[in-house]
Amino acid sequence: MSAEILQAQEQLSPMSDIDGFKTKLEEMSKSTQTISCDFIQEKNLVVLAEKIISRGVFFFRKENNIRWEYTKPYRYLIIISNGHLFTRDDKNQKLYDIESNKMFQEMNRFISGCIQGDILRNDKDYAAEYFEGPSTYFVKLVPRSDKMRQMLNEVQIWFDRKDLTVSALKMVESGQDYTKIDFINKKLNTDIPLEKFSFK
Amino acid sequence: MKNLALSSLLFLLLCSCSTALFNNYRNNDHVNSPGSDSYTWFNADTGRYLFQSSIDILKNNFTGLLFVKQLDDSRRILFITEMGIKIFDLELFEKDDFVVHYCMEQINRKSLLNALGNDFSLMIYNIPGNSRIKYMTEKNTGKLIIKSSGQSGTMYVKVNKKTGKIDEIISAGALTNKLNIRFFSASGEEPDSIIVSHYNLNFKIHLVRINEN
Repeated sequence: MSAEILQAQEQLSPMSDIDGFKTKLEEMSKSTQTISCDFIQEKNLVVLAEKIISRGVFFFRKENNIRWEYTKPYRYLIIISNGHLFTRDDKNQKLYDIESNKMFQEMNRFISGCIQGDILRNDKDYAAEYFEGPSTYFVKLVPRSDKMRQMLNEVQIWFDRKDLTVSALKMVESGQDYTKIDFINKKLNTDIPLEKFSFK
Repeated sequence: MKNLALSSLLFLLLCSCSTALFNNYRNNDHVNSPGSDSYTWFNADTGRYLFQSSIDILKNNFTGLLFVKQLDDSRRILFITEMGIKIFDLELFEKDDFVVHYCMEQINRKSLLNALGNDFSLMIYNIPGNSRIKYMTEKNTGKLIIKSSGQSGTMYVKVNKKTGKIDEIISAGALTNKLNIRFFSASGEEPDSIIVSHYNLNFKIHLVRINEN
Protein backbone atom coordinates (compact mmCIF):
# COMPACT_ATOMS: atom_id res chain seq x y z
CA MET A 1 0.00 0.00 0.00
CA SER A 2 1.46 3.38 -0.95
CA ALA A 3 2.33 6.00 1.63
CA GLU A 4 -0.29 8.32 0.14
CA ILE A 5 -3.16 5.84 0.55
CA LEU A 6 -2.05 5.12 4.10
CA GLN A 7 -2.01 8.83 4.88
CA ALA A 8 -5.45 9.32 3.37
CA GLN A 9 -6.89 6.46 5.37
CA GLU A 10 -5.25 7.34 8.61
CA GLN A 11 -7.18 9.21 11.28
CA LEU A 12 -4.97 11.89 12.76
CA SER A 13 -5.34 13.36 16.21
CA PRO A 14 -3.34 16.06 18.05
CA MET A 15 0.06 14.69 19.08
CA SER A 16 0.16 13.67 22.75
CA ASP A 17 3.92 13.98 23.32
CA ILE A 18 5.39 16.69 21.12
CA ASP A 19 8.66 16.93 23.08
CA GLY A 20 9.08 13.14 22.86
CA PHE A 21 8.57 13.29 19.09
CA LYS A 22 11.12 16.12 18.74
CA THR A 23 13.68 14.20 20.81
CA LYS A 24 13.23 11.05 18.71
CA LEU A 25 13.51 13.10 15.53
CA GLU A 26 16.72 14.69 16.73
CA GLU A 27 18.18 11.27 17.61
CA MET A 28 17.20 9.95 14.19
CA SER A 29 18.75 12.98 12.49
CA LYS A 30 22.02 12.47 14.42
CA SER A 31 22.25 8.79 13.57
CA THR A 32 21.38 9.18 9.88
CA GLN A 33 24.38 9.68 7.64
CA THR A 34 22.72 8.97 4.30
CA ILE A 35 19.24 8.56 2.81
CA SER A 36 18.39 7.25 -0.64
CA CYS A 37 14.91 6.74 -2.01
CA ASP A 38 12.59 7.09 -4.99
CA PHE A 39 10.11 9.94 -5.13
CA ILE A 40 6.84 10.74 -6.82
CA GLN A 41 6.04 14.43 -7.13
CA GLU A 42 2.50 15.52 -7.78
CA LYS A 43 1.78 19.11 -8.76
CA ASN A 44 -1.90 19.59 -8.18
CA LEU A 45 -3.54 22.52 -9.95
CA VAL A 46 -6.71 22.61 -7.90
CA VAL A 47 -8.62 25.29 -9.83
CA LEU A 48 -7.97 23.51 -13.12
CA ALA A 49 -8.51 20.03 -11.64
CA GLU A 50 -5.25 18.88 -13.22
CA LYS A 51 -2.18 17.03 -11.98
CA ILE A 52 1.37 16.92 -13.27
CA ILE A 53 3.32 13.89 -12.09
CA SER A 54 7.13 13.75 -11.94
CA ARG A 55 9.31 10.90 -10.68
CA GLY A 56 12.90 10.35 -9.76
CA VAL A 57 15.50 9.33 -7.21
CA PHE A 58 16.75 11.24 -4.20
CA PHE A 59 20.05 11.05 -2.31
CA PHE A 60 21.15 12.77 0.87
CA ARG A 61 24.53 12.58 2.56
CA LYS A 62 25.63 14.51 5.60
CA GLU A 63 26.45 17.36 5.87
CA ASN A 64 24.09 18.99 3.46
CA ASN A 65 24.71 17.08 0.22
CA ILE A 66 21.48 16.65 -1.73
CA ARG A 67 20.82 15.14 -5.14
CA TRP A 68 17.35 15.29 -6.76
CA GLU A 69 17.39 13.33 -9.97
CA TYR A 70 14.19 13.62 -12.00
CA THR A 71 13.70 10.84 -14.51
CA LYS A 72 10.13 11.65 -15.61
CA PRO A 73 8.62 13.46 -17.46
CA TYR A 74 12.20 14.28 -18.51
CA ARG A 75 15.68 13.97 -17.04
CA TYR A 76 16.63 16.86 -14.82
CA LEU A 77 19.25 16.97 -12.09
CA ILE A 78 19.58 19.24 -9.07
CA ILE A 79 22.59 18.93 -6.76
CA ILE A 80 23.13 21.02 -3.65
CA SER A 81 26.62 20.66 -2.19
CA ASN A 82 29.48 22.78 -0.84
CA GLY A 83 27.46 25.99 -0.90
CA HIS A 84 26.55 25.58 -4.57
CA LEU A 85 23.46 24.60 -6.49
CA PHE A 86 23.97 22.77 -9.75
CA THR A 87 21.27 22.01 -12.31
CA ARG A 88 21.45 20.05 -15.54
CA ASP A 89 18.98 19.05 -18.23
CA ASP A 90 19.60 17.49 -21.65
CA LYS A 91 20.89 20.80 -23.07
CA ASN A 92 22.23 23.02 -20.32
CA GLN A 93 23.96 22.95 -17.00
CA LYS A 94 24.17 25.78 -14.49
CA LEU A 95 26.08 26.39 -11.29
CA TYR A 96 24.93 28.93 -8.71
CA ASP A 97 26.60 30.17 -5.55
CA ILE A 98 23.92 29.67 -2.91
CA GLU A 99 25.31 32.47 -0.75
CA SER A 100 24.89 35.02 -3.53
CA ASN A 101 21.19 34.33 -4.01
CA LYS A 102 18.66 34.79 -1.21
CA MET A 103 16.07 32.59 -2.91
CA PHE A 104 18.53 29.67 -3.17
CA GLN A 105 19.57 30.17 0.46
CA GLU A 106 15.93 29.86 1.51
CA MET A 107 15.39 26.87 -0.75
CA ASN A 108 18.47 25.09 0.60
CA ARG A 109 17.52 25.81 4.21
CA PHE A 110 13.97 24.63 3.54
CA ILE A 111 14.88 21.37 1.77
CA SER A 112 17.58 20.26 4.19
CA GLY A 113 15.44 21.46 7.13
CA CYS A 114 12.54 19.27 5.98
CA ILE A 115 14.74 16.21 5.40
CA GLN A 116 16.60 16.44 8.69
CA GLY A 117 13.69 17.83 10.70
CA ASP A 118 15.58 21.03 11.58
CA ILE A 119 12.70 23.05 10.19
CA LEU A 120 10.67 22.18 13.30
CA ARG A 121 13.16 24.11 15.40
CA ASN A 122 12.56 27.23 13.32
CA ASP A 123 9.87 28.83 15.51
CA LYS A 124 10.83 32.26 14.20
CA ASP A 125 9.63 31.60 10.63
CA TYR A 126 6.92 28.94 11.08
CA ALA A 127 4.05 28.22 13.48
CA ALA A 128 3.79 24.44 13.90
CA GLU A 129 0.86 22.13 14.68
CA TYR A 130 1.52 18.47 15.56
CA PHE A 131 -0.69 15.42 14.88
CA GLU A 132 -0.27 11.67 14.93
CA GLY A 133 -1.86 8.50 13.59
CA PRO A 134 -1.17 4.76 13.93
CA SER A 135 1.72 4.82 11.44
CA THR A 136 2.41 8.54 11.01
CA TYR A 137 3.52 11.69 12.70
CA PHE A 138 2.16 14.72 10.89
CA VAL A 139 3.35 18.32 11.24
CA LYS A 140 1.72 21.37 9.68
CA LEU A 141 3.88 24.48 9.36
CA VAL A 142 2.45 27.90 8.58
CA PRO A 143 4.91 30.64 7.56
CA ARG A 144 4.67 33.62 9.87
CA SER A 145 5.61 36.32 7.35
CA ASP A 146 2.99 37.68 4.95
CA LYS A 147 5.58 37.80 2.18
CA MET A 148 6.38 34.11 2.55
CA ARG A 149 2.67 33.23 2.72
CA GLN A 150 2.10 34.90 -0.67
CA MET A 151 4.14 32.03 -2.09
CA LEU A 152 3.58 29.25 0.41
CA ASN A 153 0.44 29.01 2.52
CA GLU A 154 1.53 25.99 4.53
CA VAL A 155 3.92 23.07 4.58
CA GLN A 156 2.80 19.62 5.65
CA ILE A 157 5.29 16.91 6.59
CA TRP A 158 4.49 13.25 7.19
CA PHE A 159 7.04 11.26 9.19
CA ASP A 160 7.10 7.48 9.25
CA ARG A 161 6.39 6.47 12.84
CA LYS A 162 8.79 3.48 12.62
CA ASP A 163 11.99 5.31 11.73
CA LEU A 164 11.06 9.03 11.82
CA THR A 165 12.07 9.51 8.18
CA VAL A 166 10.03 11.91 6.03
CA SER A 167 7.53 9.90 4.02
CA ALA A 168 5.82 12.86 2.33
CA LEU A 169 6.10 16.59 1.97
CA LYS A 170 3.30 18.85 0.80
CA MET A 171 3.72 22.53 -0.05
CA VAL A 172 0.40 24.33 -0.31
CA GLU A 173 0.39 27.61 -2.24
CA SER A 174 -1.78 30.63 -1.56
CA GLY A 175 -4.29 29.67 -4.28
CA GLN A 176 -4.59 26.14 -2.81
CA ASP A 177 -2.55 24.57 -5.61
CA TYR A 178 0.00 22.27 -4.04
CA THR A 179 3.07 20.14 -4.66
CA LYS A 180 3.21 16.83 -2.82
CA ILE A 181 6.30 14.66 -2.83
CA ASP A 182 6.05 11.05 -1.65
CA PHE A 183 9.34 9.43 -0.68
CA ILE A 184 9.26 5.65 -1.19
CA ASN A 185 11.68 2.71 -1.04
CA LYS A 186 13.80 4.52 1.54
CA LYS A 187 17.21 3.20 2.48
CA LEU A 188 19.13 4.65 5.43
CA ASN A 189 22.87 4.73 6.01
CA THR A 190 23.89 2.92 2.86
CA ASP A 191 27.14 3.91 1.21
CA ILE A 192 26.52 6.88 -1.11
CA PRO A 193 29.83 8.00 -2.63
CA LEU A 194 30.61 11.71 -2.60
CA GLU A 195 30.88 11.59 -6.41
CA LYS A 196 27.08 11.45 -6.47
CA PHE A 197 27.19 15.11 -5.44
CA SER A 198 29.87 16.32 -7.83
CA PHE A 199 28.93 18.78 -10.53
CA LYS A 200 29.44 16.87 -13.77
CA MET B 1 17.88 71.36 -45.09
CA LYS B 2 19.34 68.84 -42.67
CA ASN B 3 15.81 67.85 -41.62
CA LEU B 4 14.75 67.42 -45.21
CA ALA B 5 17.71 65.16 -45.93
CA LEU B 6 16.98 63.12 -42.82
CA SER B 7 13.28 62.78 -43.67
CA SER B 8 14.15 61.72 -47.21
CA LEU B 9 16.55 59.11 -45.90
CA LEU B 10 13.93 57.78 -43.50
CA PHE B 11 11.34 57.71 -46.27
CA LEU B 12 13.72 55.79 -48.51
CA LEU B 13 14.49 53.34 -45.71
CA LEU B 14 10.81 52.73 -44.99
CA CYS B 15 10.07 52.27 -48.66
CA SER B 16 12.92 49.85 -49.17
CA CYS B 17 11.90 47.86 -46.07
CA SER B 18 8.28 47.53 -47.05
CA THR B 19 9.34 46.66 -50.59
CA ALA B 20 11.63 43.97 -49.22
CA LEU B 21 8.85 42.59 -47.08
CA PHE B 22 6.26 42.50 -49.83
CA ASN B 23 8.45 41.61 -52.81
CA ASN B 24 8.38 38.01 -51.83
CA TYR B 25 4.59 37.74 -51.64
CA ARG B 26 1.76 38.06 -54.09
CA ASN B 27 -1.81 38.88 -53.17
CA ASN B 28 -4.12 35.96 -53.21
CA ASP B 29 -7.68 37.16 -53.52
CA HIS B 30 -9.04 33.78 -54.49
CA VAL B 31 -8.08 31.84 -51.42
CA ASN B 32 -11.03 30.21 -49.82
CA SER B 33 -10.00 30.55 -46.24
CA PRO B 34 -11.57 28.25 -43.65
CA GLY B 35 -10.68 30.83 -40.96
CA SER B 36 -7.56 31.17 -38.88
CA ASP B 37 -8.79 28.67 -36.24
CA SER B 38 -8.12 25.77 -38.57
CA TYR B 39 -4.39 26.63 -38.87
CA THR B 40 -3.58 26.65 -35.16
CA TRP B 41 -1.60 23.93 -33.40
CA PHE B 42 -3.63 24.40 -30.22
CA ASN B 43 -6.70 22.43 -30.88
CA ALA B 44 -9.68 23.23 -28.64
CA ASP B 45 -10.43 19.48 -28.45
CA THR B 46 -7.06 18.68 -26.87
CA GLY B 47 -7.62 19.33 -23.19
CA ARG B 48 -4.06 19.95 -22.10
CA TYR B 49 -0.55 20.46 -23.43
CA LEU B 50 2.63 20.05 -21.40
CA PHE B 51 6.02 21.37 -22.53
CA GLN B 52 9.57 21.16 -21.22
CA SER B 53 10.40 24.84 -21.23
CA SER B 54 13.23 27.30 -21.07
CA ILE B 55 12.43 30.99 -20.80
CA ASP B 56 15.09 33.72 -21.00
CA ILE B 57 13.77 36.97 -19.63
CA LEU B 58 16.37 39.74 -19.66
CA LYS B 59 19.13 38.36 -17.40
CA ASN B 60 17.07 35.51 -15.92
CA ASN B 61 16.75 32.01 -17.28
CA PHE B 62 13.91 29.85 -16.00
CA THR B 63 13.46 26.20 -16.84
CA GLY B 64 10.50 24.01 -16.01
CA LEU B 65 7.14 22.84 -17.23
CA LEU B 66 4.69 24.93 -19.22
CA PHE B 67 1.12 23.76 -18.91
CA VAL B 68 -1.59 24.89 -21.33
CA LYS B 69 -5.23 24.08 -20.65
CA GLN B 70 -8.32 24.83 -22.70
CA LEU B 71 -11.14 26.39 -20.65
CA ASP B 72 -14.66 27.35 -21.84
CA ASP B 73 -13.71 30.67 -23.42
CA SER B 74 -10.06 31.06 -22.54
CA ARG B 75 -6.71 29.25 -22.22
CA ARG B 76 -4.79 28.99 -18.98
CA ILE B 77 -0.97 28.98 -19.11
CA LEU B 78 1.05 28.00 -16.06
CA PHE B 79 4.80 27.85 -15.82
CA ILE B 80 6.30 25.90 -12.91
CA THR B 81 9.85 24.89 -12.10
CA GLU B 82 10.80 21.21 -12.08
CA MET B 83 10.39 21.24 -8.29
CA GLY B 84 6.85 22.57 -8.58
CA ILE B 85 7.44 26.24 -7.77
CA LYS B 86 5.01 28.39 -9.73
CA ILE B 87 6.60 31.16 -11.83
CA PHE B 88 3.49 32.55 -13.50
CA ASP B 89 -0.15 31.74 -14.17
CA LEU B 90 -1.87 33.59 -17.03
CA GLU B 91 -5.33 33.33 -18.52
CA LEU B 92 -5.57 34.30 -22.18
CA PHE B 93 -8.73 35.36 -23.96
CA GLU B 94 -9.20 35.33 -27.69
CA LYS B 95 -9.78 39.08 -27.92
CA ASP B 96 -6.19 39.97 -27.10
CA ASP B 97 -6.59 40.41 -23.38
CA PHE B 98 -5.24 38.35 -20.54
CA VAL B 99 -5.37 38.12 -16.77
CA VAL B 100 -2.34 37.51 -14.55
CA HIS B 101 -3.50 35.13 -11.81
CA TYR B 102 -0.02 34.85 -10.29
CA CYS B 103 3.51 35.86 -11.03
CA MET B 104 6.74 35.51 -9.10
CA GLU B 105 8.18 38.70 -7.62
CA GLN B 106 11.30 38.64 -9.87
CA ILE B 107 9.27 39.03 -13.06
CA ASN B 108 6.42 41.10 -11.69
CA ARG B 109 6.92 43.99 -14.11
CA LYS B 110 4.16 45.29 -16.31
CA SER B 111 6.29 45.37 -19.47
CA LEU B 112 7.48 41.77 -18.98
CA LEU B 113 4.00 40.45 -18.23
CA ASN B 114 2.62 42.27 -21.27
CA ALA B 115 5.31 40.70 -23.44
CA LEU B 116 4.57 37.23 -22.01
CA GLY B 117 0.80 37.68 -22.43
CA ASN B 118 1.18 38.96 -26.01
CA ASP B 119 3.63 36.21 -27.01
CA PHE B 120 1.51 33.38 -25.66
CA SER B 121 -1.66 34.92 -27.16
CA LEU B 122 0.00 34.95 -30.57
CA MET B 123 1.35 31.43 -30.08
CA ILE B 124 -2.11 30.07 -29.26
CA TYR B 125 -4.61 32.31 -31.05
CA ASN B 126 -2.18 33.30 -33.87
CA ILE B 127 -4.08 36.24 -35.27
CA PRO B 128 -4.93 39.19 -33.02
CA GLY B 129 -8.62 40.02 -32.67
CA ASN B 130 -10.10 43.02 -34.53
CA SER B 131 -7.47 43.00 -37.23
CA ARG B 132 -7.74 43.40 -41.00
CA ILE B 133 -6.85 40.17 -42.78
CA LYS B 134 -5.28 39.78 -46.18
CA TYR B 135 -4.33 36.46 -47.79
CA MET B 136 -1.15 36.19 -49.83
CA THR B 137 1.15 33.52 -51.26
CA GLU B 138 4.90 33.35 -50.69
CA LYS B 139 6.38 33.35 -54.20
CA ASN B 140 9.25 30.88 -53.76
CA THR B 141 7.53 28.35 -51.46
CA GLY B 142 3.87 28.67 -52.37
CA LYS B 143 3.02 29.00 -48.67
CA LEU B 144 -0.19 30.71 -47.71
CA ILE B 145 0.54 33.94 -45.85
CA ILE B 146 -2.10 35.55 -43.68
CA LYS B 147 -1.31 39.20 -43.12
CA SER B 148 -3.12 40.88 -40.28
CA SER B 149 -3.02 44.56 -39.42
CA GLY B 150 -4.48 46.08 -36.31
CA GLN B 151 -3.73 47.61 -32.94
CA SER B 152 -1.00 45.07 -32.24
CA GLY B 153 0.79 45.99 -35.49
CA THR B 154 1.33 43.90 -38.58
CA MET B 155 1.65 40.13 -38.41
CA TYR B 156 2.56 37.63 -41.10
CA VAL B 157 1.38 34.10 -40.45
CA LYS B 158 2.97 31.48 -42.71
CA VAL B 159 0.94 28.33 -43.24
CA ASN B 160 2.59 25.06 -44.29
CA LYS B 161 1.14 23.78 -47.56
CA LYS B 162 1.46 20.13 -46.58
CA THR B 163 0.20 20.18 -42.99
CA GLY B 164 -2.17 23.12 -43.25
CA LYS B 165 -0.75 24.31 -39.91
CA ILE B 166 1.24 27.39 -39.04
CA ASP B 167 5.02 27.26 -39.60
CA GLU B 168 5.90 30.74 -38.50
CA ILE B 169 4.46 33.99 -37.18
CA ILE B 170 6.36 37.22 -37.73
CA SER B 171 5.46 40.45 -36.02
CA ALA B 172 6.80 43.21 -38.25
CA GLY B 173 7.75 46.70 -37.09
CA ALA B 174 8.22 49.76 -39.29
CA LEU B 175 11.92 49.10 -39.87
CA THR B 176 12.70 45.69 -38.49
CA ASN B 177 10.87 42.58 -37.39
CA LYS B 178 9.98 42.52 -33.69
CA LEU B 179 9.06 38.96 -32.97
CA ASN B 180 9.23 35.55 -34.53
CA ILE B 181 7.40 32.37 -33.48
CA ARG B 182 8.39 29.09 -35.17
CA PHE B 183 6.51 25.81 -34.85
CA PHE B 184 8.14 22.41 -35.49
CA SER B 185 6.35 19.09 -35.90
CA ALA B 186 7.35 15.70 -37.27
CA SER B 187 3.80 14.36 -37.55
CA GLY B 188 2.19 17.55 -38.80
CA GLU B 189 -0.58 17.02 -36.26
CA GLU B 190 0.87 17.98 -32.89
CA PRO B 191 3.54 20.60 -32.14
CA ASP B 192 6.88 18.99 -31.14
CA SER B 193 8.59 22.25 -30.31
CA ILE B 194 8.02 25.98 -30.46
CA ILE B 195 10.55 28.83 -30.37
CA VAL B 196 9.54 32.40 -29.61
CA SER B 197 12.29 34.99 -30.22
CA HIS B 198 12.31 38.75 -29.86
CA TYR B 199 14.71 40.59 -32.14
CA ASN B 200 15.31 43.63 -29.95
CA LEU B 201 15.02 42.13 -26.48
CA ASN B 202 16.80 39.36 -24.62
CA PHE B 203 13.56 37.44 -24.42
CA LYS B 204 13.31 33.90 -25.74
CA ILE B 205 10.92 31.02 -25.07
CA HIS B 206 11.81 27.46 -26.08
CA LEU B 207 9.16 24.78 -25.63
CA VAL B 208 9.49 21.02 -26.26
CA ARG B 209 6.27 19.01 -26.07
CA ILE B 210 6.14 16.23 -23.47
CA ASN B 211 4.37 13.10 -24.56
CA GLU B 212 2.32 12.10 -21.52
CA ASN B 213 1.02 8.81 -22.93
